[in-house]
Amino acid sequence: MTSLLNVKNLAVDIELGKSEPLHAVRDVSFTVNKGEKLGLVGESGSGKSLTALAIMRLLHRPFRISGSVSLDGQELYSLNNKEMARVRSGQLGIIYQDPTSSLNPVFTVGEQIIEAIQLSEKISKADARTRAIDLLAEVGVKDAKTRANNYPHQFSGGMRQRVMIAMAISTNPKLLIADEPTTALDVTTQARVMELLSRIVEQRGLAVILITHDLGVASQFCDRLSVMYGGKIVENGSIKDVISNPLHPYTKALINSVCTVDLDVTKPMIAIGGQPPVLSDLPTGCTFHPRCPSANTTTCVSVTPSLEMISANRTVACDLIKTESHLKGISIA
Amino acid sequence: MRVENLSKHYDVGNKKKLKAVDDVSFVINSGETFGLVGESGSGKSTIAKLIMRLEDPTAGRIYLGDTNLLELNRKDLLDARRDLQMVFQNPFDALNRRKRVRDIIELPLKVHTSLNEKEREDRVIELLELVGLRPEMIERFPHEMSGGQCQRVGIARAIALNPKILILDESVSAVDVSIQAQILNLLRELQDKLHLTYLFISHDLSIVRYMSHKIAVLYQGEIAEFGTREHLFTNPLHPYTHTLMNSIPDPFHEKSGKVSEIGTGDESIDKVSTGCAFRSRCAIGSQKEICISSNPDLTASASAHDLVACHFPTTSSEYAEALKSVGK
Repeated sequence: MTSLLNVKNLAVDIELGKSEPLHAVRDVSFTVNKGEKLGLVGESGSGKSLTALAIMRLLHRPFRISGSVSLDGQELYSLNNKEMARVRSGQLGIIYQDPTSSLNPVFTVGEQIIEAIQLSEKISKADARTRAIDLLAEVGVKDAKTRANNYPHQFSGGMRQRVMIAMAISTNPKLLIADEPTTALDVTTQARVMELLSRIVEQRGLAVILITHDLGVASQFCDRLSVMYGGKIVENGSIKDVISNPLHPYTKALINSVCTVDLDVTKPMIAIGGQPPVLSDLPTGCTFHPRCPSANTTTCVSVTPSLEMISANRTVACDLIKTESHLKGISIA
Repeated sequence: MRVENLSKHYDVGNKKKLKAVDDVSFVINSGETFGLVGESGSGKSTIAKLIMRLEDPTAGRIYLGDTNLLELNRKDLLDARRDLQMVFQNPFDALNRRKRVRDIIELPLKVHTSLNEKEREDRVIELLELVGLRPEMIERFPHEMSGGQCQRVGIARAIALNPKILILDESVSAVDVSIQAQILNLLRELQDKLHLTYLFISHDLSIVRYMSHKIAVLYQGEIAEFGTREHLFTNPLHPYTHTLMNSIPDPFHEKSGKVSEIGTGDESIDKVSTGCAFRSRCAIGSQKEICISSNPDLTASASAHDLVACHFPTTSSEYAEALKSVGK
């Protein structure tokens, strides 16, 4: 497989005038291959959305970005603004969480899709309209020809998210970034929208980064999973491996705390103790050590673990993993 | 608590009525958790508002013990609110950001009790410990705490007066996954310790199952199915309950999140005026005469333990067959 997106040592700092900058994303590296679906999972504040925005070069002051992002061999941070705008409108597609606030209420959905198409290529308005209508039909909007003349408020939440998907794929992007695309939707609508997204991505062979806090959604859609905690990636692997055999203590704890319909109701849930890290007061050493049940008082507190290759396609950032005996010794329950 | 034939209809112009809640009845026994589950627009939050009397119902009765809450005057209602407390969805919005934790938790004690300042402070510290917060948090402002800690303060405020019933409206939906389990455990511990009664409202079926002894599934303002946790989850009978259960994305099972309804999902905004409200999404009833002409009543199912409002109650395997036959 050839890699499409290469993110290397990406860091996002937030400058705060006189006080120390906050390190919101730290030393993040990953690749997305052509046609691959990567899930970026973490809690709020873990840096997953900032990572996506940094990839699209949408962060400006007070954010300071370092590291490298290359899309199809092209280094995005060496392009000028005009070139970057072209990449953004032509090669990247984005779906945001809340379709209500990301669609313009005073233009019809048709006009908005046509605008997106015309920004990325020279095409007559009539041709762009035909394509917009085809796209709406493709994402399951019935009677697309008439519906294209409707305003966003005339659509339900799930339908609006379908319009967003149509807009995101309208320019035939190479990479689709979906930031919590179904978090604002009902479960039944979520199932429909995710099924649609799977179908479209499959048909077009798109590469996707799906950002979500929901392990269930990620595991049903993605091929690979990257787990983020406190601005860093702590574990990487195929969906199956990570869910069935999590290695990082945080991933284990996260998987254990998922509420499912076959959970034993007579027992308390296995919760992660403590509070999520605060950016202005990040712990030393491993960011997870204050909440980690198997952290020791030496290495975990002082040494920041780096992502180590455990097996093919599997990396983990935990110093306890290095020794096999510790590996077995980690138990969250 | 006993809720009888509760309805809330809104006028939406053109002499049309929006039935946000329609003829809903249920009983919550002391010390148990009653779960209400449904999608947005199903009327679950409206029921909470009606019980709190933040809105007046179109029809119905709400009994707490022997008192009908709807017949109380302003003063008696204020007294009754001691026994009715609520924990809200967004912990940041539900706390006054200009007040310290002390003032937030103390307010109900000031309004409803004759405790002096020292006694109130002791009670606030006792409450903080009950919800798992350190006593020194008493001087914090909401912005100095995490979402999970704010939600604990919200719970401390709600139980300050030993209410007879606690309404939990999406109380864990806005907190992070890693904190959600902590809060759910805390709520169950408090229930055991203080013999609290909960009305637990959520859109999340797995969480409602974990928390509740009895569960009502709401669809467009009406109860579609009701049962004990055991019965509802081992033998669901309403097509809507099947749809909900099939939609849950579960990380531990192979792609279960298959769409298990017909249509595009856009129909539900044009509410059907007669017949069963779910029929446009139902694999069985969409074409059936009786489903189009009459709205099913909530009646005892064959097992007699549960109530179901459906002309053709089906088991989950029967419903899966029906879905297959319509090409889903």
